[in-house]
Amino acid sequence: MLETLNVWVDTIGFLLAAGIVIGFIVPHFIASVLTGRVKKHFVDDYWDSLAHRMHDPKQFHYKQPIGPDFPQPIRVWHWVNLVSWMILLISGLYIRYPWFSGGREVMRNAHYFFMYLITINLILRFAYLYFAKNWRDYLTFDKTDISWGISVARYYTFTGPPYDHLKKFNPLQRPAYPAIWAMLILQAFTGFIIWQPAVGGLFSGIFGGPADMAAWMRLVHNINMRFMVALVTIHSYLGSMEDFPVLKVFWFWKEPDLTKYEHEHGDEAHQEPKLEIDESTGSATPSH
Amino acid sequence: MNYSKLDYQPGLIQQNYALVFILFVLAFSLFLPLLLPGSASAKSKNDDIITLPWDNPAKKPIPPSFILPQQNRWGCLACHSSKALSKIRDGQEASLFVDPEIIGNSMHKSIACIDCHTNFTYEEHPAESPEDFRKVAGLSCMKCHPFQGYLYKNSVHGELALKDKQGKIDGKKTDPALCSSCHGFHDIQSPRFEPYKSEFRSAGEKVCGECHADRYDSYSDYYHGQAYKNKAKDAPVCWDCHGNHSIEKKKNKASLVTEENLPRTCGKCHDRPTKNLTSYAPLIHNRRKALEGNLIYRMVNLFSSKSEVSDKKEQQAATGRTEIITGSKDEGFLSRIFEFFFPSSLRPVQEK
Repeated sequence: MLETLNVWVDTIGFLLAAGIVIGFIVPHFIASVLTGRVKKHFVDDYWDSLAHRMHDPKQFHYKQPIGPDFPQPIRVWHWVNLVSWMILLISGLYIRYPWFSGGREVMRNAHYFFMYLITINLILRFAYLYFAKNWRDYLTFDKTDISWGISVARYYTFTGPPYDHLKKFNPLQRPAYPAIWAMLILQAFTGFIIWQPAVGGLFSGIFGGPADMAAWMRLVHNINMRFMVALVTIHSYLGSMEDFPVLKVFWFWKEPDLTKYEHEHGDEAHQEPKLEIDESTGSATPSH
Repeated sequence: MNYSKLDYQPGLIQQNYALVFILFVLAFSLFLPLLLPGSASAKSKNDDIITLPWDNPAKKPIPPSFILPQQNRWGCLACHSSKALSKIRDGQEASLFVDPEIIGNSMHKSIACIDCHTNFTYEEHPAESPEDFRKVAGLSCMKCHPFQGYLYKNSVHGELALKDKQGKIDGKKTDPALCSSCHGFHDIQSPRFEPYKSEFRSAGEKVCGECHADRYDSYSDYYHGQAYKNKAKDAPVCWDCHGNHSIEKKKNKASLVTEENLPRTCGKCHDRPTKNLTSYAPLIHNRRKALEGNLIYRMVNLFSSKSEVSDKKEQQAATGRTEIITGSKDEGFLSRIFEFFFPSSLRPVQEK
């Protein structure tokens, strides 16, 4: 049983990786080139998300810099996560498929070290979520998200115009973050069982014993890893292709020059919406 | 309840202990010769000479007059340390040179040559074939290492060696492993101590793989075989699972890798494994075969430029092996489709 399942994990893992690249990234990139999105974004340096930000009052980010959307703790968290992920991925793959001599000790110790780091990082992330009180950004879903989600899907399948930014994350992107947290929790849980089968305690009896439990958890750890990699690959690709200015702010603290979008072609005809100032709260809302 | 009879019965317990002790001593002394096989018969003839099946009892033991080789190794090395020493064997020059430096650095630097080369304890310089010398020397270890010798004599290797028979590996006749086949001879070191301990552990290919090449090649699962071959210190070497001196055939009940014994064997490293865990065990030597049986792997192979699907017939003709994929070959698309639906590994082999 374990013999067969282990081989299936390998082959389905390969198929998933190949499927993401051949079935999504490559066709999407080719279509992006053919429809001129690559030229618009990376040659002309024109980003719809920034233009919307400057001209469309219904956008969530209307005339706001990008930076405040990504507070410093989240940026540090993401950096630590990225480094830990890369090292955990490489060392984990080495532990399962050793491809050079003499690396087991180093790779295993690296896996242990970053295992702790990423677990602590995840706990801190939840603490931040609690204190920042912004869980609604990640964990809500309402009826408007359905039609919005369709427009997002149409944009990514090249059948619709650029979508709106009505909330911080679009409805296809939003569940990815809780999914990653859940996957990280599962990965941490299974990882600890593999490392110390005895921590399973009496629970390991369900599987027959500590070693049996570890063997099953190893399978789950491997399958989960592949789904995580698939999700993060798509996340990284779309982040780079569709929201590179945001990426630069997030990674390198470099705000884009939004002034270039202020006087773009057609602006003469464009009428700036008047702002209605609510004196009681001091907030400004656009009026039509 | 009246406890008075049980409370104190002077001498009864002590007498029982004494009886058990006497019986134990008697039984032990009766079975002692069996625990050290060979010692009784050897002692009856000559204390210093081990009796091996191919020793010729008609020959006389060496007299004290032939003192050089008996006293220390320099007697033999007087001639054998010369690189020029050789003889013509089967029409070809065969060197008889023994490097004193190698012996001097070995674990056995302080013992005499004839302690291992017991053939040379006879008066005449024996005229047996080099294979005979090697066999005698390769098994003489049991003289000083009786415990290991006892285990070895009852193992699959030892049984064949002591009966002067050959074994079969995948249908090919092969000489059984002697002590020296695994441990080496003139350069022998102790596998208990570093740095040789690590060196010996990492020499699975040489120690076991020299005869069981296909089994060593197929040792390629993730955490055991691949890890071992990539120098992982905690990865198991062949004898961690299969045993060493007392190694048995898998079909023998005493083998450490039978279905019954696997949980205990795996339990050396894994925490209380069950038979469910040992369902992983076939993968340890059959990962390639398991992959070949996998639908997705076969589908992917259809579109790869080279098919790595084994050609069993070709393999058997070339090496006599049954399990290992030794190479890949280009195949047409149609034959790949055929291979996909009817993998050669699952087809019966046609007899020529």
